Amino acid sequence: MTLVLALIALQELTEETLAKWRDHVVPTAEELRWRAVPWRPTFWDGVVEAHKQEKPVLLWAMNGHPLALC
Amino acid sequence: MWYLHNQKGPECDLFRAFCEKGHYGGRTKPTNTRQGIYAVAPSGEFLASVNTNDAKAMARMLTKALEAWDALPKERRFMEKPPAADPEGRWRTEKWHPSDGLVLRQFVRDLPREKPGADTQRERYFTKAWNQDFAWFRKAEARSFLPEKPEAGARRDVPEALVRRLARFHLIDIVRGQTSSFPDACVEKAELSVEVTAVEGDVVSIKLAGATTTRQKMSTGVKGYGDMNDPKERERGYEAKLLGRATYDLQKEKFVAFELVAVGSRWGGTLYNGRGDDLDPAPMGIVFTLAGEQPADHVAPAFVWEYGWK
Repeated sequence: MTLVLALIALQELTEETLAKWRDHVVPTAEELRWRAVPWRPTFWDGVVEAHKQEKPVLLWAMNGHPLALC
Repeated sequence: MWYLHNQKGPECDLFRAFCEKGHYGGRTKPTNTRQGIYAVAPSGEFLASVNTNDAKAMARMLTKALEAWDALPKERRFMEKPPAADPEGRWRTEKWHPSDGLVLRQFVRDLPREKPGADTQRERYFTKAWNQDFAWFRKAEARSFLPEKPEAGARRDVPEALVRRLARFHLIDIVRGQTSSFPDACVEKAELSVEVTAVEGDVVSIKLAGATTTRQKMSTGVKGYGDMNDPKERERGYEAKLLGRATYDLQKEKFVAFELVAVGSRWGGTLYNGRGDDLDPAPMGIVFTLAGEQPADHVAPAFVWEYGWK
């Protein structure tokens, strides 16, 4: 019983533990460094802007979406 | 990726015109995926590509791409006419972005376990693994989180349809990879209630509390290519407690702060979510916060097609 209660308490979500679990889940600034690149949400948005700026396009294409679920 | 490779329209036509010149060109086994990182001219002229998470390999690709760009005659770099921002024949779910509603960023990560895994590189990687998505609510849906008359102490249940949206499409195990949404029939519990804690002028503060349970029996592999042709009857699910707080501005008619945390136990796996050797119940956390205003925050949720929006 004591072990079960300890396991339940380990991940209990309360007003007191909310900040702890939030901070554990939300990525750190280091983990989000790749977001410093000014990504556009779609390939075509990048093509339009690259055309205006006369630059090549860098496309990151993954199953899912690199800026969302992948 | 699937959209660019398989759908119609100028954006997809352009992608298909160069992807076969890249690192996976012509490949059909084990799959026909064309995922990767491509450098192309705005005209669609292929410059270089790679599929890697190694910085040095990426740097080599970029160097090769810039050399190809420098060597490419100017007349081949661009389209005959500047591309229209929204050309005919192109349709994206990003058009549904509810700029006057509630746009949330979602993060998912495993929580610490009583018995940590083996001290291997693979285990250390998976311990830190996280994933993300967005969750959308239209203006009226966002307002429906609050009581009709938002006075201190007032309570209401968030409309069940919105909580089921969270349970089916967002309270899912995407820590290590992609997974499918839950069918509606697999939602055993979807409860989220709100209590107004303070009202100062037009600003309403609320706290949110609830719980969800999803459970699905299905025939599936759990090891990607390893068992995709050998599915077995399995069960997966997520049982979570939800807690959070938010602030709604009645004058601006939108949330100006939002934080919702889910903590609970997930079990099972699907073909591509990397749980093949980790099917037993284990703790997982999910956090929803307000998305920013950068273009990168305008990406549609993975399962927005299943929201029932038009």
